[in-house]
Amino acid sequence: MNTPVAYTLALSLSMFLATAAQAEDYVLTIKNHQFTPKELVVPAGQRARITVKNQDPTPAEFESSDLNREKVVGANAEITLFVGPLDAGRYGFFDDFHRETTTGVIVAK
Amino acid sequence: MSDTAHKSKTSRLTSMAALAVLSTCMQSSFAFGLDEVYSPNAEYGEVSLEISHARSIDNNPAKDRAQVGEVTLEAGLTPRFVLSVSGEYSADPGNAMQLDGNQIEGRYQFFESGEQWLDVGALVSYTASKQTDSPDTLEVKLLLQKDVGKFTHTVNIGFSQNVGSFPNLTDEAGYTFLWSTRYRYNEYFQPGFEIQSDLGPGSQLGYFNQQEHYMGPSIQGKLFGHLKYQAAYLFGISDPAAQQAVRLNLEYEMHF
Repeated sequence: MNTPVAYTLALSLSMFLATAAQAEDYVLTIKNHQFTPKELVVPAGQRARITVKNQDPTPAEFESSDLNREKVVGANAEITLFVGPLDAGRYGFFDDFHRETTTGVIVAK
Repeated sequence: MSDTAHKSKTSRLTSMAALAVLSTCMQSSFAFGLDEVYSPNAEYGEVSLEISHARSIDNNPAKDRAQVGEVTLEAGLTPRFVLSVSGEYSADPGNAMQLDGNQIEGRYQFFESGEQWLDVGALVSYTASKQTDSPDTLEVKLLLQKDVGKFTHTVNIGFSQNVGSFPNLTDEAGYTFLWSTRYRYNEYFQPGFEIQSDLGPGSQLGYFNQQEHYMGPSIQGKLFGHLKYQAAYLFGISDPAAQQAVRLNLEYEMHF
């Protein structure tokens, strides 16, 4: 492999792997089948890393067709989600196991 | 009724009507292997029972009513790994349905969804043939996915290899290319389009009219509760392809 191609590949790979480090951290908690905060504000145009902590003794499923995410959170367990970069707007999510009561929204500003 | 609830109900009714039309068209699946376009993302803690079926539609009886399908049990065993077992069946035009083989398949998700610019995964499957004149098959697929706003683009690039020596069968690897783009209108109704290409063996690459290419509209989403659907109505766009093909997939999810 010639040198310019190798440098280009190495640079592309490092940029690809570096994207995760650019995410800001946020926490969403589920307790008594309620998300806290119910409205999570994140900056538009940036990637966010969201830790979802389920403090209930029953599992939950974080789901959002707006964000294209669907992930089970075990009882008294936590998961990590990456979202964005998002355009400014509101992105709804819910717990698919308790969807009537457990809802929230991410607001990208 | 709130606007959102009304929109969801309308979407569900539209999806059900479209599925009913497709089911009427289908009665059975397809000699060419129309397949689900797989997301690289695993669903940990989920078990699902899935039924897929596809069939061809063509004025030529030699290409009409070819069918393929599978019944699959799938489990997300870890946050990154999904294991599934399937029974695969097919029918050539004018022939009865037969069990082709049993398949074991593993899918691995390399990164968290959205962690990198592109979601990447891999699928490896082994199909043990139940037919004495057909070889076993090993297949590897690269699974790629990218969300852009409310659009999700998914690409599968596959390589398959016959295992064992059979007369009149090529030893060359076969290639497939699948593309799906969907607009996430809501969880019940996600319209889009699909491209399914069986590129054949390596020696055939670059010869469009020796390969089977299909393209057409698709929809997917949830029907009720944990029942999901995917459907596509595809048009053959190369000479060996059938004029049309339909693909339907139903998946019931449970959690453990």
